[in-house]
Amino acid sequence: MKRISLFILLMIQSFSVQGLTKVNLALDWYINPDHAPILIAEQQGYFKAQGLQVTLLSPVQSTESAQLVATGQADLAIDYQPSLLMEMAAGLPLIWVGTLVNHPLNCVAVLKDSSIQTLRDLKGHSIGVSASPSSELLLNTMLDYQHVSLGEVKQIGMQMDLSQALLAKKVDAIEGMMRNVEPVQLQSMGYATRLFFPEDNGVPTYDELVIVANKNKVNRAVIKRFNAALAEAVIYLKAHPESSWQQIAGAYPSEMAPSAQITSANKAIWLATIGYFSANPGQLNAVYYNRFMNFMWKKGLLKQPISIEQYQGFDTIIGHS
Amino acid sequence: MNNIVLRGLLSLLGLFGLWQLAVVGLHIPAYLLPAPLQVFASAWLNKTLLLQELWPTFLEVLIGLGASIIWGMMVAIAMGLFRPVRFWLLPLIIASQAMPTFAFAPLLILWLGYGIGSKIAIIMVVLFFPITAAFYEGIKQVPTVWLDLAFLAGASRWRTMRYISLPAALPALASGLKVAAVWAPMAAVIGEWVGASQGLGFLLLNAQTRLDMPLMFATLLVLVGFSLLLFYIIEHSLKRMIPWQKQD
Repeated sequence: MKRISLFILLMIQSFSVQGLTKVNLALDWYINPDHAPILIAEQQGYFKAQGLQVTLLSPVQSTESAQLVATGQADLAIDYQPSLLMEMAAGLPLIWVGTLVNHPLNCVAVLKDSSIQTLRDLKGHSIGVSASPSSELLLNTMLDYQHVSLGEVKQIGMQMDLSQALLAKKVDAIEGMMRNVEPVQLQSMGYATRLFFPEDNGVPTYDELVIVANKNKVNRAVIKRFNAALAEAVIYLKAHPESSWQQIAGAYPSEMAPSAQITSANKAIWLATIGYFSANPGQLNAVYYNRFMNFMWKKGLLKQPISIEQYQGFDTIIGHS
Repeated sequence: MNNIVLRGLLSLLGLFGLWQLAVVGLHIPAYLLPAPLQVFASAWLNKTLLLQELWPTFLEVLIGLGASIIWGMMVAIAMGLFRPVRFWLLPLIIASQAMPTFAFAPLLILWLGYGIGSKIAIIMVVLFFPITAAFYEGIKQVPTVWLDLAFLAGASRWRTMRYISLPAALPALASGLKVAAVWAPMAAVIGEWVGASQGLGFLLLNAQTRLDMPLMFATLLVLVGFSLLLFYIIEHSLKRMIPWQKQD
């Protein structure tokens, strides 16, 4: 039976277009500047040079990209490190295979002209929070670090209208913004913000955007080639910020450049995001990993700790599936 | 017809006037509510984009509405003809309508993919009920005298349905279809909002995410216009098909 399935697998692979290996990658959201290395690797032919034909899927919600990989409908997915750890602890057959952004992007934002100069000034104020357990953890840790107790602020859960709520002064601060996206966009509209970062306020540094695979189906050779193409794309992006934007705006007009305002916001975000991409997507920092995983475990978000071997899928014995 | 169009235009004009006055007078910022003139300017500036994104939504609505009408009529007729179908299906149909589409739509997309298929399925989930319920009510409310006459004349169950109940139920079906016509574009947008890379729903999401409120409202205008057009086309063709229906 195993021989037959191996045979079928080889047949399928040999029939793929121009000898390229097909890879389905589920994004965390529709195509946006956070996906720059992937888009550039596609447009510049780096994936093809590595023998890969990558198809992008844009799922409904960020949580669904990981589910697509867990159920075998996609080979790879973009995920967030805190979410990945929680999904793994919940038993989803996922592993880390690469890092897109090896830095936190999450932040707390207030309007620059507000009276809130430090996190401590949030006492007695309201904070709009994006509804996710990891967002809540980051905010609570930051407040705790600044000796603000949870009873001293009013947290309001919201879905997508964070920036509007802040501008309309319906809340005094918001948590769950990406520092490379919304503040840049607000700046381009003429609204300055003041940002507070989790890594400055008691949260160990972590990887905002990671790439995950199914631990039972992972093809290490393909991953290696995928990461090599991404690394090449990051070098290209850093060398050609402006022209890479023009190229992608032309290639994905309905996502990146539909109207004048959306185009200029996306361009500003594109340029602000390039600096955050990991130059070595296949590399994992063990010290940072252990510190962040232990942090999440001790805060009670993981049922059990996840070792770095488990995280990378090196704990399962090969042939024992 | 002309009268209705004229009245509609006048009331819209009045609404836009009040809206413009409110935004200018109360200094409402554009990220909360853009002024209608801003919206029209954005619509004109982005007319190619709007038309281009209308096309996929138009196709989804056309196929989804057509499929819902056929499917809804078939189920209503089956319920009218066979008591067990009625007995087992009616609770399911009501349950299908009690489910919030927004919670259900992401699942349909996961099952059926990101293409047109999942959008058509969402449209069918939304439109199935008004069409089936209206048509079935119509079939149920055929005067008993007519049915008795058919029975005395020795007509079979199918012939009674074909020549008495169906024509008698058409005005009821018409009101279901009008509701469906107005809901169809909205259902398509729900499908595109939760998973697509084209269509008016996707454009709405993209404009909202990047705070391009004039474009978002321009897209809404196109959507409303599309719904109205669909409503009048359906109403007009129904009047031709059911000349005996009372006019209002």
